[in-house]
Amino acid sequence: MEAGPIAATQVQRTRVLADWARATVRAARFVLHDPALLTATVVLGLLLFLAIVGNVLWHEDPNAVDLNQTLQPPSAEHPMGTDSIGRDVFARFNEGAQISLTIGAIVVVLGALIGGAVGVIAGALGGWADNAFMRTMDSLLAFPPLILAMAVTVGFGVGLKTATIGVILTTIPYYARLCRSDVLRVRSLSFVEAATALGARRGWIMLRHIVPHLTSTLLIQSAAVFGYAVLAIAALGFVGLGAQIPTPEWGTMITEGLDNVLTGGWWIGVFPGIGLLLAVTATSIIADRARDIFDPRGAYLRF
Amino acid sequence: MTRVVLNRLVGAAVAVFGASLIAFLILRLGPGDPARLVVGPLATPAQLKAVREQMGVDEPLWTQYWKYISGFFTGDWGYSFGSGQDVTTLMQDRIPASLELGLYAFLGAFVFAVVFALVATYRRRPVVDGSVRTLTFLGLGTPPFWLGLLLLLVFSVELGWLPGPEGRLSPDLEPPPHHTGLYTVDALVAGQWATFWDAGKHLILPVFALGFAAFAYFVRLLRANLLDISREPFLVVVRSKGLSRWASFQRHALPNAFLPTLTAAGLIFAQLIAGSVLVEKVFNWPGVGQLVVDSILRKDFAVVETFILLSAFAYVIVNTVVDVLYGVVDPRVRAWSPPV
Amino acid sequence: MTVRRRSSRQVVSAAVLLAAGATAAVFAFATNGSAARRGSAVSNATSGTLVVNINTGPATIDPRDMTSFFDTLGLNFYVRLMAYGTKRGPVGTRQVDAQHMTPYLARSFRVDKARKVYTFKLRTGLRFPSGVPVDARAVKCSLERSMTGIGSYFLQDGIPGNLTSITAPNRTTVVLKLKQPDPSILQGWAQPAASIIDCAAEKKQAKTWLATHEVGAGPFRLVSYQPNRQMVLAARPSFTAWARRNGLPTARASRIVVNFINSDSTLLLQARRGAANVTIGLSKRSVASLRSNNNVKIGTYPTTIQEQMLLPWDKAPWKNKRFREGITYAVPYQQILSRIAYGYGKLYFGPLPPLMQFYNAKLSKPRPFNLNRARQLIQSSGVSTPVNVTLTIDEGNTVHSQIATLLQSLWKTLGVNLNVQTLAPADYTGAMFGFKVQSAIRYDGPGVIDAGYYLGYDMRTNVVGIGKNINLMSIPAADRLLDRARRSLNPKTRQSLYNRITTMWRANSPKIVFYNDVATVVLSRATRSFTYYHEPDMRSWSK
Repeated sequence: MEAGPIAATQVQRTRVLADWARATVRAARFVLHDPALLTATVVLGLLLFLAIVGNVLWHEDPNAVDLNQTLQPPSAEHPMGTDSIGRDVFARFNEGAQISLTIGAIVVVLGALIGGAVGVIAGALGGWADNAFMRTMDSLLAFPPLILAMAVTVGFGVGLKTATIGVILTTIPYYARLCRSDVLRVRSLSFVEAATALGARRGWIMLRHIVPHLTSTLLIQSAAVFGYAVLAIAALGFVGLGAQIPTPEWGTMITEGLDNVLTGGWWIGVFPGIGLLLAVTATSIIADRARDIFDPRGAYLRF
Repeated sequence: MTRVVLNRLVGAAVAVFGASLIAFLILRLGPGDPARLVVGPLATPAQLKAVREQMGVDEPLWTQYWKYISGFFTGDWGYSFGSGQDVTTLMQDRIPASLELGLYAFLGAFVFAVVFALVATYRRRPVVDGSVRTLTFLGLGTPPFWLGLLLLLVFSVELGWLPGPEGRLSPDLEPPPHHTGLYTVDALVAGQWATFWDAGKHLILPVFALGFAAFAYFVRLLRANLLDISREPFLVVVRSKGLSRWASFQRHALPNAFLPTLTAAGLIFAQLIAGSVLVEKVFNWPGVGQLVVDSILRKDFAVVETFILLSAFAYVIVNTVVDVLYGVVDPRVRAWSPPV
Repeated sequence: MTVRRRSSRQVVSAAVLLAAGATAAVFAFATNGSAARRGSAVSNATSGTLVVNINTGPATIDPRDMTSFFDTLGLNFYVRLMAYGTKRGPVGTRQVDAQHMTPYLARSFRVDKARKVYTFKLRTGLRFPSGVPVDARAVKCSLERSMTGIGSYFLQDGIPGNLTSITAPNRTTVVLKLKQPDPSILQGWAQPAASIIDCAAEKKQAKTWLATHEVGAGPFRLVSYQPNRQMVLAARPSFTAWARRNGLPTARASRIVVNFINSDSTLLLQARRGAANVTIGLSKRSVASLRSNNNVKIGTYPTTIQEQMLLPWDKAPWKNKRFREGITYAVPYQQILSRIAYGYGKLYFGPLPPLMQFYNAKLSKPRPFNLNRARQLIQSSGVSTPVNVTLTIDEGNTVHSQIATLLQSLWKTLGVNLNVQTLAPADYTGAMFGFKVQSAIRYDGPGVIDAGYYLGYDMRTNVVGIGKNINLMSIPAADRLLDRARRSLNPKTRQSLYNRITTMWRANSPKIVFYNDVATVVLSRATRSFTYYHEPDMRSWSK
């Protein structure tokens, strides 16, 4: 019987599948071994579930105004109660999860791309271009973070879109600094010197050698930025400059809770805040543990 | 050394002016009519124009920018049309309130962080360590405005132990005679114990809401540093020489652990300024944060632009001071000259 | 250990303390604290001091520039030729009566037959703190000064150009000449814009000085003022003596502390505790929560202010009369009033609110909420649905955002897609008065309680001297009737003219009127006397 090419690919496929299985088992053992990480993963999973599928399964409409059901406390019918114009808070919570998690991801991706590009270019070019870029980044950093985002929203119209742009603007200098210092560090490594000695062009060295080094740093730092972005958007919503009516963003819901703090209606503001807390804490814990995966001392491989 | 310092100063100056320019452009180029807000609906076009001239919004941008920058250094910080007074007076009024809040939040965060970090690392009990770690994660993930709301609900509305969102003092008390603008300090100086106690009670909740995140950050940093240092060989040597565990921690581990927290101070400071905006809104604290948000909404240029310059300066000064201090305190930094 | 190195920890703590101390020292030197900021040591619990909490502070207390209700607080420092009368009000208080104007600085006045020349004889004996007498010369220069600013609109009762001359033939006589007769002009001269100031003292100061200071001879003097924070007033003895001599009401409270507190929760907290004797501007929800509280009395007063929604006639789909009519049937008025306004309002539909003199209740019945009728009218209007409308509201206004959200979810079924746009205050006013909004929710009413004044800027196609009216409505036939009504001296004629205007107005469905606002003032148990004014005269307020 010919063990020809078909049999060979089958063997290859099995080997790949086995590798994946092993990796999954390792990841699972890593997670299960650590109670905090386990809780964080479960919580994040739950939030994602609510965000994506929650309102599909739940029968209430987050924007359905019902003036006969205003300010109802949590009950079986409304697990998180109703707000001052009778909307179901649980439905709004789910949509709020969708908004916060999505915007957080967008901010991180765009911030990393733009900031990273600026940082890499600055680090690669060096000289006055580097100086110019970094001074601009410093100017942005000199703003208290929220104020810059606020100025952008007020300057160009309040709303979720401008708020997101404002928050992205505040993350760019952070990423730029990060990537630039990474580039400078990696640039001095001997293998890059070797490549230059062999005649490789700067751009090629950038792409082939330096950028891959950045990915692990970016990934880990991005978790912190994700947390910051989620809280920043909520803060802007809290002040009234972020999401607008009737968007059920968690920050604006907390504002409504504050309006009702003395006249009853604690559920309106407390639940969205718990959502924010859980989302940001869970991502931070996961990111923190994820650092172990990249730890060169091989702690992860023990699993 | 001087070359480095000079370089830093130039960089700082550029950062500050860059920030002011960005703020200036965003505010003045955006849509919206602050003059109309002042005159109201029943003004004739001529009256509207007169107010516009008074505000100086009709002049070319460069002139406006020059007036802004030169005014800042001569002490003329402009006029706030939204509140009807000079920005200088306004700032003098509001900054002490925010300062009092921020200082106590910073100090409280630091002191409690030292305690918690020590608790977490001294005896090496994994349960204690684990719970402190979780606490730091929670602390960094809690939105300060929500925490304020929660604290209000529990301690003011439900339990009634602490005052509600009514600012710095109970309404029937007069502020103490003015020396620093910090009510607690001024009341102590004047011997007004009741006022001191009242001001203190009003500070507790907002300080906690504001400082919790900073506390979490400090604990993280200190704990990580303490753990690293406690593994260092020199500590083993010190212990083998007969020094007690506590003394070795106090005299060797802690001081070294503090060093990296210095650099964090600048960041924390910036965060406290940003966080104060939110916490001040929750507690109706008459500080600079609320003022700035209201001024941004009313396009009260003078206030916002002055605030940006002030905070940019403060941020840069804090960072420079920290860097210099670092150099002074850590002999390794002094001995090593950076590859310029 | 031969190297002596100071413990880093000590250095760090020293640095922190030094920084804190330096900052404190800097502030101690830099801020010498103006006298105005040092409140007196007198506690507000003293019987003479009245504590008033208002949710917004004045933007200016210069009579020439006052525009909003909150600005008018400044009227308490000055006297004017005329004053508003009062009548009995709820819960043992009194309220303003615009039908009865009383002479104030004027002792008496004469009107000529054509009703165009008003000759005032002034009371004597009142002097400004500088010693200058409050006489005809002072009246002339004050009014002329006001005419150069926003005040000119109020002084002329909303008919710009009507006041043609202000003369002072002698110390005690002032003659004011009008171009056309105006039966309600006396209100114009009771407005804060007509305040009598010490012109010489004002001229000595910078241009913006009067925005935060006063130069009056009125019932109160300004003790201290921290804009947007607190204003302290004290009764002025020279006025009290003069008023007593002339049989005029005097200031009952010897000292009033007015706190400006924007936070609704703080206002509520202090009202609950009785820490404030008078609370103005508390949200309706918070007022409703006080109904069962025995520490306070709630006074409700009719106003001329309406919560309304603009349907600018020059923008689609409001160009279409039928469509407009249909949309006015698609609003759940009663539910809005009871659930969002907690019952503090009155429903009606017409050009004039219930408080106005020529309001006709029979002709101004509120539009019923009838979704089917609305759908019918909209579908037969010729405007193709679905139609997109941007509704502009101002930031931070809970009532507006609740109404907007309600309408947004309700009108989807009618094919009207409402996109709610929240604008920051500067942008909101700019957009509205720049006529850029497709629709907006607005809280507005006239400072002068007069039908002609109100319709003069709210209905008239062209507001004289200013431009188009904000609703962009145009009913030329009604404009003509309005001009006749403002000139007429016969109340019966005027009533019939306004009746016709009302019918014409309703037929055009020019805007949505959610409700006429009822003002709520929370009074502590200690407050003995209070009179509600649309422009607060605090003389009668005391505990």
